[in-house]
Amino acid sequence: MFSKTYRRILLSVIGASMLCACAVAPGRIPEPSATRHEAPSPLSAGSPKTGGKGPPSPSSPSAAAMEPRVVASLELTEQGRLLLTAGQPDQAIGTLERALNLNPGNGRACYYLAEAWLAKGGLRQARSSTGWRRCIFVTRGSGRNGFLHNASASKSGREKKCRNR
Amino acid sequence: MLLLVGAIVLYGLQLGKDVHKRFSGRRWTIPSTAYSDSTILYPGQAINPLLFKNKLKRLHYRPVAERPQHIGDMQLTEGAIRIFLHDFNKGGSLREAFPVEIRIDSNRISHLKRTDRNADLTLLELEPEELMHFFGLEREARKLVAIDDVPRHVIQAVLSAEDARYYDHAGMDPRAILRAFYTDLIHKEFRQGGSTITQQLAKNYFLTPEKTLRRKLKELMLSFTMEAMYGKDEILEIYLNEIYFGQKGSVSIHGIGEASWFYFGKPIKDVSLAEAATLAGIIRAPNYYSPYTNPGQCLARRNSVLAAMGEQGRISEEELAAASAEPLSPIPYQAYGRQAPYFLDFVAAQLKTLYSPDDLAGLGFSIYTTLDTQVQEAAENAMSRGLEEIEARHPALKDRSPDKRVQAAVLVMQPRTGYILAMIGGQDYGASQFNRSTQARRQPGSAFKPFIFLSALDRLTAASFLSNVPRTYIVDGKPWRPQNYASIDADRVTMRTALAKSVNRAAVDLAMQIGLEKIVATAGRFGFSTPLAPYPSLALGSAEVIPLELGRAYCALAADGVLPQPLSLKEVTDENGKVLQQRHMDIEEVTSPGKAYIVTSMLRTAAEEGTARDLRRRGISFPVAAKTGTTNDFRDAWFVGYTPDILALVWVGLDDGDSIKETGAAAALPIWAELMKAIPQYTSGGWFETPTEVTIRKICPTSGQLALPGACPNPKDEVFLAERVPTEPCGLHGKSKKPGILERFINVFKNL
Repeated sequence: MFSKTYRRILLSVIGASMLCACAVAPGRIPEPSATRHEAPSPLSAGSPKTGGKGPPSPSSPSAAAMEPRVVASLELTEQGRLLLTAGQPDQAIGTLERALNLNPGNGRACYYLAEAWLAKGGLRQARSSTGWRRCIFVTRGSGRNGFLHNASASKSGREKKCRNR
Repeated sequence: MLLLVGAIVLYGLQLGKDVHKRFSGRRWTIPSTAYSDSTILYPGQAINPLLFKNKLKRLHYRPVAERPQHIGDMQLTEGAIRIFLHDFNKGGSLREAFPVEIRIDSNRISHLKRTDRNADLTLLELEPEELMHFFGLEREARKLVAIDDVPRHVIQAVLSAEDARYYDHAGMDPRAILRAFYTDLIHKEFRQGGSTITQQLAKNYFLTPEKTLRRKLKELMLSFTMEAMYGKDEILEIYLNEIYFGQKGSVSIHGIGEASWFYFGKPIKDVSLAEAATLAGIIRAPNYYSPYTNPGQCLARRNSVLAAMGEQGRISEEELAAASAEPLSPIPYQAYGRQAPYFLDFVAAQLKTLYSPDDLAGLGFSIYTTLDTQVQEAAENAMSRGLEEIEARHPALKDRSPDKRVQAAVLVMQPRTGYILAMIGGQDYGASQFNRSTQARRQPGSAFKPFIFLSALDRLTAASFLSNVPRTYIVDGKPWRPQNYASIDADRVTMRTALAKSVNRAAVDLAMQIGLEKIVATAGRFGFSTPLAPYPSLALGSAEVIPLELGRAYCALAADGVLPQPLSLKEVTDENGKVLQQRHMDIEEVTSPGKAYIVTSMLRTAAEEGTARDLRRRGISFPVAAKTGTTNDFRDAWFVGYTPDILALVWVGLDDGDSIKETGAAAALPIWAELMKAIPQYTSGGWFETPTEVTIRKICPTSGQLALPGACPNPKDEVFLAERVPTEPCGLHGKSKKPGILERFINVFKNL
């Protein structure tokens, strides 16, 4: 249905717009500062304020802004992106997995993982790479092709569709 | 005469065929090698200096007193580790060696610097570690080198030591034979051989070791034939890859490529003149001139090779003096161990479905795995100490025969990707190769409960009450009355308390409320392959599971409801680096992030206030979700704990099902805590992001309804799925003055 070139252009445009959208939509594809919580929640960690009886809940994302592991994970993500750009999706996937291991909340790594899998024609893996990131999802194109979508800009029906899949 | 010449020519032609056949095909069997994962370092990373230094030693870095000048050197100082890294072939591209400085402050990397460029690094990847070789029957280790990659001084040293006129003769050197004959005659014993490199190769490659005239003649004929068929460089390359260099335990070292790693921990291209002369000197009698067993003789032999090089004009007088003054400096002897043997068995089982044993033993594959050797070492240390302590507390366990001692399984995984970082399948691989992590089927006890509580989240919440009243169930016509392990007075407990404190009666009540078939279905989704019969006792973990499958199922709780395939084998490449097999993370969503988060939240309460609260006393100060498990008569002790970054499962028990007389909290928890404390690089202290579908509300712990500010004592925060958020205000403390609709509406907002 779509030529390979057209698909690549579309992916790039969507990817770029998605990353831009993520930057203004914390909690969707988190920026480094939003991916992890450096300190345990005062509520759940048993601070004197509540006597430690409350359930775990997140602390302020900004506290984690400079967490070294987040920075290292993003560095690996960039390496993965460059490998993908260089036409080495398999190597990119391996590197992006390491990025996720360093920071399981790294949305960028998920995005590029999906893109790498699409580059390999792995629609199922692309979907599973992003399924749990509610702001990114993959839909089927023609043949083994797929499209990477960003639903973070709005709570559209597309996101719901992604959840139900 | 003509007939004789004809016969010799015919014989030469026949030998030529043999030589061609031998040299044109695959010349050597190269064992495949399994590697760990590479190691990522970055500024700010916490490290365990002891385990890290052990890793560097296993990577063949050689401690030196001064700043590293040569590839493979490592200087360990109080506040910094300086390493001249090896080359690192990553994904087909070569990262050339360079020196780095890793500054360490309070067990944390404070700075990473590439010292030759004075450049700060944000990330550094250390090469993978060799874990084992898949040897064939001959047990030969060999790393092939091309003649172009062998430095000139190495070739010169070998020629000086073995065949000074190699490039001038045609396979036989009469002058060398006469000199050897003269030397042997003078000393009236066999002291010197006159064999050329070509003759040695002919002997090694084609002939048996007996010393007869016929064999000697054949050796000469073969040498002439080889010289006629192949160039000098090609013959020398085959020789350098073929020749025997000594013994590493039961494994024989062949070829100068393997020998330079074995003796000096570096590739042949990086050896110094003195090291080259040492290697060349070893060839004559590898075990006699070994720097490990006979350093004095080795040094003398090295210097005699250097002297010969000087005499032959191959090195200058200055080079001779400098190299002769150097001490022998082999790396510490390392036998071929078998690190992580249970893990490697697990990997080997996967490889056997892809390749034949002969291919693995002969085709020189590189097999890359997910293993982190620092985590594996930490796990092994923690297990050994934990089991020693158990046996010390119960001497009867220690008195059992070696094959009936207490066993343990330890698994460490990264929940998001399913990477297996470490695996232990038993106390002693030598005594038992049965992998209790992947092959055992044991009752999980309460460690199974999270999946029952998760099954209930469609109808109930963490604040819902469950019955703790003693009750008899009829199972297969027989009465069954579940008992609590610890006494709990209340007639009812919340879901959160029931899971955190592992209340058995409440768990069975819950299972019967939601239906056993639903629990079985949940378990199926979470990847349990063992049969789970729908009996009420399923709620207490009576159905056997495989530890790896239990650990994997918990991974889904730690990864937003996404279940990973356990990943151990990542990549197989051939000897040229071409990728033959590649495996990546393979994940599947099995529950919603919201449900996974709520169960995780309840398990954090278990770690802080429930059955796993001993973690804090054992030095675990970061937030953890954890669950203990103990089966009837203390047959199995379990502990599973996780953070967003890492998950570890520990099982302790006896193979014959006898009691170990301890709970999961007493026997397995200490091993888990010890392990986690030893790998600070994986415990950042972070906690899970709250999913968007989860809402926090303040509730009255007595009624489980929305707390009325000022009316309900000790209101608590609770997490709810958005569709299960309670709307009713507390009916107990608000009875005296029932709020109107408007007041209830306002209360809802007050409680936000």
